[in-house]
Amino acid sequence: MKKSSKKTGIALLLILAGVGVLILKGVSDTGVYYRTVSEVLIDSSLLEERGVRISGEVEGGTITYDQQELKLIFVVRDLEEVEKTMKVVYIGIKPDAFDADV
Amino acid sequence: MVTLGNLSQSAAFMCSLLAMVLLLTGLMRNDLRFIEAGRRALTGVAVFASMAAFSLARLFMTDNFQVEYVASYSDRALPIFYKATSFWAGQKGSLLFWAWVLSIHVAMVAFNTRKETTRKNTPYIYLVLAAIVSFFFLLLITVSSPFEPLAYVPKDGNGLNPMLQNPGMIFHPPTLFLGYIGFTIPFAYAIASLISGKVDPDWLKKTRRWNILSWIFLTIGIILGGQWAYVELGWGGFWAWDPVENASFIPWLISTAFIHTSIIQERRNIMKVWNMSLIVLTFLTCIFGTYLVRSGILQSVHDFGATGLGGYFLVFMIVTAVGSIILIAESYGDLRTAHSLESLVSRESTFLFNNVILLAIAFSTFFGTIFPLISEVITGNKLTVGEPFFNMVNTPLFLLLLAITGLCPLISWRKASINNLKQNFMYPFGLASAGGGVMFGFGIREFYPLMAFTLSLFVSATIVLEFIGGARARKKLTGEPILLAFPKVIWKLRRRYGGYIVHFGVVLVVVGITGSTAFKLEKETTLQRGEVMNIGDYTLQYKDFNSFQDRNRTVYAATIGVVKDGKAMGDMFTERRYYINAKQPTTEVSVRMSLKEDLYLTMPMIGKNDEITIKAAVNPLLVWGWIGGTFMVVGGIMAIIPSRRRRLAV
Repeated sequence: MKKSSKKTGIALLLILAGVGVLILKGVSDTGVYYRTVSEVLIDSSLLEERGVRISGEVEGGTITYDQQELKLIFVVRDLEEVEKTMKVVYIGIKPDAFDADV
Repeated sequence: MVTLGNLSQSAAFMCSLLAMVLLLTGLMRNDLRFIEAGRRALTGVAVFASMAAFSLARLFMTDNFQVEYVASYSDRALPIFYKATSFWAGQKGSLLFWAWVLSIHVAMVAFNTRKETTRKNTPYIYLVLAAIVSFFFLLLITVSSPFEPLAYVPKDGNGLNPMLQNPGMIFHPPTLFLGYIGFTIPFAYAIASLISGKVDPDWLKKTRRWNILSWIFLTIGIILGGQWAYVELGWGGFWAWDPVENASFIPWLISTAFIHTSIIQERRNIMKVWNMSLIVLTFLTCIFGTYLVRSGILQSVHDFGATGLGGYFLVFMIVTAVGSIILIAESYGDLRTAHSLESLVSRESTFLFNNVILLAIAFSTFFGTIFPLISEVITGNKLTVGEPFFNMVNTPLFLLLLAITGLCPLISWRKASINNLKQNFMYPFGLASAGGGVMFGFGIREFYPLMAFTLSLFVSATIVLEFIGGARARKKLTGEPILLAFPKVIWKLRRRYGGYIVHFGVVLVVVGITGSTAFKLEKETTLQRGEVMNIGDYTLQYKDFNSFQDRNRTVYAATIGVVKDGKAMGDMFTERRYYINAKQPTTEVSVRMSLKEDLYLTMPMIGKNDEITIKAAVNPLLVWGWIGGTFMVVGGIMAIIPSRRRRLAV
């Protein structure tokens, strides 16, 4: 192998290593766990992990919204074990797509 | 019409099968008559496909709700041109649209190559295309027919999702599709040259225009999608790293890489394996895009949900990937090149680095998109990554790419000398550092935005130098005055200068994105009639509230008076619309665009006594992103205008 292509190869390797590091760091810094309501209820320490996205359905009739303070409160139930629920407080504008049973 | 649609679909499928049989027979018997017949059968596919497409359009126009697909995506009250666009609003219709457009592309290839059937690789091109077309029609006639009837005839249809009732719907999906579909042609040429063992760069030359044209369509599609999101969806952004957005971005990145290295292969006859792999990858990621939307494996705003088609596309992708790898491996000996890169600092190597970074961005985007699936398989926990991940990983890569865009034209082919570097770098580098310093002085202190602006300046400077240099050289050569030499040299070398114009477009897009993300102002306030809110230099007064009935929707509109620096700027109107057939309301955005910044208003909430919540945002420089997109498209078009008028033979 010629000297120049060796140099090019090293430069490429460095770039790839950099990309690898970036991706790993990206995952560990910004990754968010995807949990169900019942998982969180069983082990509430899961909520203290860096970020959690919880999947569940909004229980009908539990939605209250304070437009002055932009505070939305509702109850989420587990998709499979429907008797398991948790209360959610959301600060901000109610999203268009937000509704019961979705 | 239903019968005609069904029959035409089946006929198109049969015709593509027939083409394959004829071509194979022709190849085995070495008989040109069969090849020619196969070529004609391919044209026949387009005829039948067009009839099927016409039938579906006609069913929408005549409100034939017995057809399940029509009933699901249209209703009587729908304005007529949205009825036309409902064609591709759902999974099945969009699949027919895909197959139809593809078959027309194929017919165009068949026509263009009508005098080249004796060439060794032409029958294989036809064969690959016929196989791909037949795959799509197979899906249409077996599992995903848009002509499926309902057991009863509903009084009215379900209507089109209000978010899709937007002019964006007319152009965004078809242009993206044209992009995706167009790459099938270069892919077929590449595979054909592998099978026939004719691995000269001929396929690259023949498909250069197809490539760039598809790239242009993909670019338009992505930009229109961003614009649509910005003016219609009302969350104030234009890009969310949604899985399906990513799925369109990945082939864009790879095809961009391919367009660059194909220049190298043309000039220096190196990187043959690399280019082969890139076009295969481009095609595969295009199919991956449509797989993602149709499989329901990831959640996305563009999703059609689980449609039962995922498995078919998966098999198709695996067969394509494995087949391509085997073919490339088999011809590896022929593809290997005598030359290699001569120097780390050369024009060629900047192309190589640009490729590596483009592919790195493509990879990280792909990785982030399918990450939930990977993490679930490996760790059992579903871990997802979102916008922060993509921004964190891709921003530095984009900046690096931008730097290379600027460096590339400054470095000569083969091996750059120190003197040559010094001379070329002086001005752009000086200008960019000075500009960076000034921006720093004006308070732009964050690293990424500062770098983005400085590099934009650097790249612009190199482009300007390149234009001036070209004009000067022509003046010297021809003695023309510089003002005449300037446009002439651009026109004469439009392939090259078209490329630079695309680069300049990219710079403007970077400026738009940086300005509007790093310096965005946002504020939400609930207002009573007459109250005011402030954002940036603007004072917004809630003046009036109206509601009225409009065709298929009820509209609530607020009038907001805008005052900037004490000067009245007129009124803006933002609306919430409730469509008859939709459960969720939609937000109608109001934007005041200017070269300096956009004022962006939405009304996410309406309360009692006409109390409203206004979400206001100031997005600096965003307009330059759209302008830059236009430059990219114009530059691309310039690069493919044929260089010589072909005269008719006498």
